[in-house]
This record gives sequence, structure tokens and C-alpha cells, in this order.
Amino acid sequence: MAVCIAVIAKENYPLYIRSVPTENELKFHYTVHTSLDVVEEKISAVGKALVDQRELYLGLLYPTEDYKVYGYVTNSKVKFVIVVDSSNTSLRDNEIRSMFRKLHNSFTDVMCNPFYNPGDPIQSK
Amino acid sequence: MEPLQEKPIIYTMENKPIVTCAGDQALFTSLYGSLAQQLPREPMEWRRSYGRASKMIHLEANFVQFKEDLLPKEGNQSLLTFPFLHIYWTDCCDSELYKASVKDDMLRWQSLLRGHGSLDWLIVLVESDGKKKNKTNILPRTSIMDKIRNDFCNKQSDRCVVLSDPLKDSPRAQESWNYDELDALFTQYVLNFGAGDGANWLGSFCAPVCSWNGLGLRSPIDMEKREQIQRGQASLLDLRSYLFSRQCTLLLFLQRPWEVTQRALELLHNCVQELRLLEVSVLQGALDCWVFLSCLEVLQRIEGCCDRAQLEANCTHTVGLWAYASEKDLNRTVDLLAGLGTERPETAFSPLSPYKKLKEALSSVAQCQRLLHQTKDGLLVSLTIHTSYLQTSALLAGDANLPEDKRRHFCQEILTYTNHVPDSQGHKVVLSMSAFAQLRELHFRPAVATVHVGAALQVELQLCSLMPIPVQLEQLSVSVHFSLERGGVGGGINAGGGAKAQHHTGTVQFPMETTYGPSPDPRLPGPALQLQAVLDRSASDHTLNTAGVACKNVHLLLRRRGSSASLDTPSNSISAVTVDDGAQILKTSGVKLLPGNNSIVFTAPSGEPGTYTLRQLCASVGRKVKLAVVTGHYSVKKGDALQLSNTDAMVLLHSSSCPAQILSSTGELVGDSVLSIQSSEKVTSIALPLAPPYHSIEFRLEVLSHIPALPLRPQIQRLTNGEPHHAQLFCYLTFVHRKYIQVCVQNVSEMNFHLAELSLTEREGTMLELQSLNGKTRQLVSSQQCLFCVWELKQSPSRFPPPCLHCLFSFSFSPTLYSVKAEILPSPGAKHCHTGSLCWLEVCITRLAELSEAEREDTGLTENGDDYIAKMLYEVVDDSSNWAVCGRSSGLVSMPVAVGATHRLQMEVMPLFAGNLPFPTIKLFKYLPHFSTPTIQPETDGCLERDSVSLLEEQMEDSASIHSRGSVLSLGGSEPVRGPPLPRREPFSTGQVFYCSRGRQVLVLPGKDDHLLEVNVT
Repeated sequence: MAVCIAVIAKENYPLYIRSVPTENELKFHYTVHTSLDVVEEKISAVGKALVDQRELYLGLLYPTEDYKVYGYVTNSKVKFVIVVDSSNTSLRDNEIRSMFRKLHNSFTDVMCNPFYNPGDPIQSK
Repeated sequence: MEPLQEKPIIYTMENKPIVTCAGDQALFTSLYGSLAQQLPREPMEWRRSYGRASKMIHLEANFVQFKEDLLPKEGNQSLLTFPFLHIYWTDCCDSELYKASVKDDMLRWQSLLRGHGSLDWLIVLVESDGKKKNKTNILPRTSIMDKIRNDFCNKQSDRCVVLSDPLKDSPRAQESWNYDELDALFTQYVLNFGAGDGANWLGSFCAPVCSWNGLGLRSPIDMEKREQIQRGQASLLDLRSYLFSRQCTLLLFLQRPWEVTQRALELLHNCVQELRLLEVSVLQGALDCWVFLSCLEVLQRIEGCCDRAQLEANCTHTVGLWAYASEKDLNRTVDLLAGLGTERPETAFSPLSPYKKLKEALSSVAQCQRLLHQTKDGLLVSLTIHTSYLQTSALLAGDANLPEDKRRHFCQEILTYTNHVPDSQGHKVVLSMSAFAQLRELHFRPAVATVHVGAALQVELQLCSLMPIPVQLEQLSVSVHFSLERGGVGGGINAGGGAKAQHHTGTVQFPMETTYGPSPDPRLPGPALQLQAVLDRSASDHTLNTAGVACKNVHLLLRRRGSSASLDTPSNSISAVTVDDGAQILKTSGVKLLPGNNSIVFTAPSGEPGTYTLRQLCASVGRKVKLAVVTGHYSVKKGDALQLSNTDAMVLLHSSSCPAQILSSTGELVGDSVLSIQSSEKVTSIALPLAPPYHSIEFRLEVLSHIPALPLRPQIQRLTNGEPHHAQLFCYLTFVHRKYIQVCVQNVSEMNFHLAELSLTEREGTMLELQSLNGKTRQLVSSQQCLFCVWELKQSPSRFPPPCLHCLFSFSFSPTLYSVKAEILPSPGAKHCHTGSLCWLEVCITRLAELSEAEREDTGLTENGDDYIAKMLYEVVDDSSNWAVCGRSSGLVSMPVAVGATHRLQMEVMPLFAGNLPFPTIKLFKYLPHFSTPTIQPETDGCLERDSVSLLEEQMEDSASIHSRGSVLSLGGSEPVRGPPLPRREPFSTGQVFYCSRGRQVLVLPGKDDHLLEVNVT
């Protein structure tokens, strides 16, 4: 399980952030915020090197002692960030990828909702 | 066979895998030279276990003659002496000869191998052209090959290869290990072990960690650790350290130092996790020590093999390690020294080894702080390590609250450092004055501060030194800004002293600046502590609960200066101060600053007529904004411009250009440039100079800050003008005879402001009395917050309110026609509602008012003699899906229009969750039969009609859009298509229906049968 999931708009403001241990929310916000720099670097590196543009998964962004932060960027430059506990060894690259795929699907569903204004914070029940 | 001792030692392969050669030794010797040469050049595929991708590698081998002694004994697993591959060489192409001798020899060789469990073997059949020509016609050459395959390699035909041109081909080596592979394999074992998969040999790595001396990357092979591993005494950290030191050596050899830093970070994180996973007991703080030492060691190793420019360009790679090291808190000092062990001999003579640093640091708290300071500094700017420490020292030395000897110590520290600093790199540390001394007074001579060209203008500064001992200053400088603009007056020089200038006396006095905490100057103390005893007695028996001292003016004492780093307040900048080169500088050399007040005289230049402004002094009153554009990974290209939006509170002084400095990431000046500035009323555009990545562009802009005299006025005007900045939401609340008006004032600006004397009046003279229910006379509306104000509409009970009140905001007043009351009852026999069991929802609709004239027009009524019958549609909606409504959730009600007429409904609902559940929402609509012509809308098609209905609904009920939309569809029975108009529903206008049970909750207990929760009710 991820401990924090964030959807960040193209302009780098959060559309949705949810962390599971709610008592330390600010820390996760900070972690997600910090990882955005790495996302930027990776995106701009992609532009330079002209590597496979279809690869949306950015991989491990920002490892810390306790958490691993993974990134994913959609074609519209909306960023997904998933923070997982480092001690959770069952989550390998493949699992993270599938989590991102599911998140992307849900995000697409939200975007398809005619009542959702693109750019608004996303609500989740 | 001679091993390859004569070749130069290559780091990559100190220990080449051993390959034994049996068979025709003469043949092999003839091939050996070219084989040993060609083999490392040929890339080969390395198929790896555990599903990892295969890699192409270059491999060398140590070919030795086959002897039985070489074969591994039982239980000997030593990799270094392990022969990995056994090759049998033969050039036999004569089947007679093969049968007679070669086959027997091969059989003997095979049985020896099998006896020792060595399964990796290969038979090489070499065909030389000379021999082939002799025998080629007698037997096809494949026959020998086939024979060998038949005899030895059943089903494994690749165990026998033919070399027809030995100088080009080389035998392929089988799988082998390198450090990456070992590392990955070990990781896998640890993970499996942690998951409960027993691997007993891992037990030895679970022993308590008793040594945390960090990574050792100085020697290519850490022999000490290697021996420990051989003896089985290595801890997990030792093994990891050893493997990493080998990887590091290889990576550095491959000139990939940045991969080392990346892998190091991974390794450190991983080790910490693994120790946790294996539940290895580690002394508290020891792991921090290990991480800290390792970080520094890696960084030093990298610094050792790269030059400065490379390091700077790649600081993104090192920053992670710096950050990680600086996170580590090394406060536990007592037991950690023991585990550091002794320093490694290879670093013993290096004055800066991480080991020495940490050991020193652990010996005293002060040193520890210092080391941390340095480390944190390294994080910011890896080369100006000492600046921050000096700055801190300066602050400490100037702090009057510290004991005298401490202050002397820190002061001395700065002075000794300044003497020691090798200025060879031209790297000068300039510290902000404010920590050392404060400017008290500025005195011009002559007092008018205007002199003729060529005459001397003297500026006398009164400086109060905060240092406890006399300080010899090499140079004291004051930067002066020169402008020609107002210099026309008689060609004189006018040195104005900024905002506080008092020209007639020629003296400018500077009030004490409040710094953090109490003032550092003992003669001018900061605000006195206002202390007050606080006694908390219990209310019942007057016993003392707590007693304490409270400080009443904490906000004054602990106030810190505004942290807007862009404003150039010199005392606020912790980093080294850069001297503004663009301005003229007044200098005095060789000044000795005594503790206390000092008087220093500068002589101002007067070469050119114009106005000189003492710039540094002005800066402290906030007239200049220093802007630093940090480029990050982006390089500033030609044509890039910075756009500033001008705010009302800050006016940019117009100038067409300003000087800028381009600084490298270490704060070194790289280049100067002049920026061109274009400004309009709203936007100022500044063309940026070219700058490489990770540099910063610094420049200063002159601004005037206005503190608006009446900051609230424009805001309020906006408010009344109803500009979109302030959304005003009015809502009208009603309960039978009591009417309320709620006003929501939303502050969408960035400022906080007070709302005072809230009042709501009406101008029409309808004799309505509005009574304010707002408690406070003054209300703070913070930025981005809302304030709700409520007024009650007073009216005499006998009178109805006017049907409509025309004011700035109009409301229609209508009497409450119906009240809807709901009740949820548990099923008969049960005390409480339970999840999954049916409950009764009772709805009672009561008519409250007489038939009004307005209503008579309404099409929703049907006439029945004298009585009117109202047809209404009720709907039970549960947005939060707490309830399942069984049966029909909506239906028609017809009831007579008479006061007190009541209609009761009963339906079954099922709670889906336990807890205090809010009641489902019950809605009442007017029902317009299909035959009646809609009054508002003429004949429309279904789609449009539906839209208009839903629009109305949204106005009335904010949360019901989806549900009610769905029910409109179902009401029609089918998809609305073009055709006869369908029956419609129309919401009551606001206030006409009072929902008594809105917001009520009912307690639902968890169901007895959990599986009932699974029931899917749709």
C-alpha cells in the first residue's frame, strides 16, 4: 500500500493529496513537494534525450531512509506521485507501475466527468 | 603455464576466473597468446539468474594447466581458487588416433572432474588448415566432432566446439560472478529471510552491530573486511561496505563517479532498511554515525578524483548525500566512540579524514554542532564551508548574553580563521557588519553635506562594536551610489542620507535595530521582560493546581525580522555578503575597532558633480530590492525576460537599466552584465543576461514602498461595487414566522481586514426591522476566509411580510406553505435500528398557510368544488448512500389546501451503515400535470425542458443534481423524446417548504448478521 498519493496539476499545484497516516500529513506534503523538482528534471531530460516519449512512468524519484517516492507524468503533464514505505519490500517496480496505471485510469474517469472542471481540486469519497 | 603476471595490473580483474586446460598442451600454448589477448576484447553475454536482464561483459581469464590438485576439495567454497571452467584441447582429426588415445584421455579427464563435482567443462577441437588438407578426403571432418559429441556430450552439443580458425574465435566462458551480482543476490536472500524463508547462513549477519566505522573507499581492496568475510565474522554492514568499496573502485575506474554517489545513497538507505528488517540490534545513534561517516567518505572520495569544475557541474549528484548526512543527528556521544574502532592507516595522515572529523565531533558537543554546521553548509554551497560557521561565530561573539570568555573565544576563532585562510583562490569571505558592529550615527562635514567639486566631504560614522576585544580591521568600506540626475545645482555634491536625512545638522542618527531576542547591546537593552505570576486554582476547593510564570510580551521578545529574503536587510542574510562592485566605495584601511563606540572618518570623492547617496545605509530602510534569479537546471537564453507585476504597495522607480551580477552556485562572481528594464504601469519586464545552469543572477531594483494611508478603503469600495474579488452570497433562511438574512463576505484578497459596525438596512421604507444577531462589533476577515453575518427580520406576527423587498439584493418573501417532518422508527419489536434490517420512515406533510392569491394562479392546484387540491411530488434521496430505500422512493401526494391538512407517508428504508446516520433528504415538488400549459415556458422539446428543470433544482438544492436528474427521467417512464409534453415538477421557491427533520440523525446499531452488509440493494 502506498502511504501517500498525490495528483499534481500541470502548473504544479496539488489537485489531490491523500496520505494514509493522517497525523503526519504535512511531512508527506513536503515530501511530495520536494519530489516535484526531480520530476521537472526528469521531464526536461526526456525532452533532451528524446527517449521514448510514451513512457509515462518516471521511476524512483527521491528515496529517503523511510520512504520511496515514485513519479509518473501524463501526456498533459499532470504528475502523479506515490510514496511508499521503504520497509515494504513487496512493492517492486511492477507493482508501482500498476498502481500508477490504476491511478491514471481513475484520473481519466475524473476528467471524463462532465461535472468536473479541469484544474479544480479532485474530491474523493 | 605462465600466469599473466607481466601484464600491468588492471583494477577490473585482480582475480581472474581460473580456467584449466587439459589435453594437447602444445596446441594450447600455441593459441594461448592470441587467446589471452582477444578474450577481453570480445563482449560476451552474461545470462543472470533471478530473471534479471542479461548483460554484455568483457572477461579475462587465468588459464592454467589442468592438475588434479586444482579441483576443489569437499566443502571448500573459496571463489578465488575455484576453477570455473575446464577445457580439453585437441587437434585430433584422425578417428583412429581418437579411438586409440584421445578418447581415453578425455574419459580420464571427465571422470576426475565428475569425481570432484565440477560440471563446467568444454571440449575444443581445433582444426588447422595443414592437417585438414592431409586427411580431408579420407573422412569427413565432422565425424570426429560427431564422435566426441556422441561419447561425451549427450544432448549437450554445445559442450564441444570446433575452432576452424583459432586466431579469430575464442571459447566462450560460462557464467561468473561480479560484485553487482553478489550484491543483488544477497539482497534477495535478505528479503527472503525477512519474509520468513530460512537461510541459516544469514544468521551470522544478524549479530549485533558493534562497529560502525563507515565505508572505506581509499584502497582498491579492503583486505581487512575481506578477511573478516572469509572468516565468517563480517557483519551485514561489513559485507555491504566491502561490496560497495569494490563497486566504487570499478565505477571510478570506468570514470563514472556520479554513479558512485547515486549508488551510495541507495546503499545507505538499503542498509538501514535491512538492519531493521533483520531486527539486528544496533546501538542508538550508531547507524547515524555509520551513515554520516559513509556519506562524507563517499563525498571525499569523489572530490579526490574530480576537479572543482566537475564537482560544481555535478552538484545535483552530491546534494543527496550532503542532505542525508546533514539529516543525521549526532547527539548521542557517549557510547559511539568505541564502535568507531581505530582509524584506517591509509587515512591516518590526512588531516581531513571523515573519521577524525566525527571522532572530534563526538568528543565535544560544540565540535559536534560545528561539524553539523559544516555539513549543512556543504549542502548549500559545498565550497564555502566555513562562511556559515564564521557568521555564527560572529553572532555568538557579539551576543552580550554569553559569558565573556565564550565571546572572546568565538571572536578569536574568527580572527584566527581570517589569518589562516589561504587567499590563493581569490576566495574572500566577507561577513555582514551587523553581527560585529552597529551603526549609530552618521555625521557629515561640512554639515550641509554639499561641497564644491574637488573639495573634500567627510563622513564620520559612529560604530558600536559588539566584539568583546579590539578587532583590527583591514578595511572598512561604505558603498556610495552616484547619480547625475539632481547634480545640476551649482555643480555641487549633495550627500543625502536617505529617508532619515537631517540636512541642517548634517547628522543622521540610526535607532537601535531590534534583532532576535533581547538586544545584543547591554547598554541599550531590548524590551524588558514583563513577567507575571500565574496561579491556577481549582474552582471547587481553591487548591493550587499549577503555578507558573508567564511572559506577557513574548511577541516582542521573540519577534524575528521579516523573513522576506529579497529585501536586503544586511543582518538578515546568513550567507556571505557580497560587496556591491557596481557602486563607488569609500574605504578606510587599518582601522582598529574597540569594544563600544568608535568613530571612523571617511573622505568622500568629489570628482564628478552629482548626487551621492550612501547606499548601504539606505538599504537598511528597505529602499532597494535585491532580486536573485536562481537558474536551476535551466540555462538562461537570449531574449529571456523576467516579468514583475507591480503592486500598489510597491512602486518600481523607473530606470532603463541596472547592473547585475552572475554568480556561480558557490557564490563566486562569474560575470557582470547590465539589464535593460522596460516598465509599464502594470508590468515591469527585465531582460535577463545569458547565464549557465545552476547560477544565480543578482541585481537590485530601486523601489518606493508606500504604506497606504487607508488600506481598507479600496477594498471596501470593491466590496460594495460587487466586483468579483469579493463574492457575496446571500441566503434567506426561514422558519414559519421567523425570517433571517445571512450575508457571507468572502475575502479573496491577500490582506486581512477588519469589518466594523456591520449593518444591514433597507431603504424602501417597508418598516421592516432588521435585528443584527452578530455578536462582535469588529470582525477580522482573514485572507481567503469567509465571514457570515446574520440578521433577523422582525415583523409583527399579524402582518405578512411584503411579497418582495427591493433592495440591492432582492428576495421574494413567501409564507411557509408546508412543513415536512420525518421520523425513522425501528421495525416493530426492535428497540433500535440495525444495519441491514428494515426500518420505517414516516413522513408527515402538513399544510401551514391559507391559500394565497399567488398560489391560486398556480397550475399545480386542481379545483374540487370550493376546495383546492394540491398535487405534489415527494422524493426521498440519500446522497451519502447511508440508506437504501425499499420500494418507491418518490411518489405523488394530493392533499387539500387548508391549514392543518396533513398527509402521512410510510416507507421502508434500510440503513447500510452503523452509527449516527443523517436522515435521508426528503424533497417536495410541485407536480404539474402534462396537460397544463407551463406558465413560464412555452412548448419546448423534452431535452430543453429537462435542462430548465434541472437548472431550477440546482438553484434550490445544491447537492441534489444527479439524483433528481435521474428521477426526472424515470418519472417520464422513458427517455424524453420529442412528443407530447411530459408531466413536470417544479420546485417550491425558497422558504415555502420547511423541512423539520433536516440535519437530524438516528442511531443505527451494527447488524447482528454481518453478511447482511453485503446485500446489494439497488
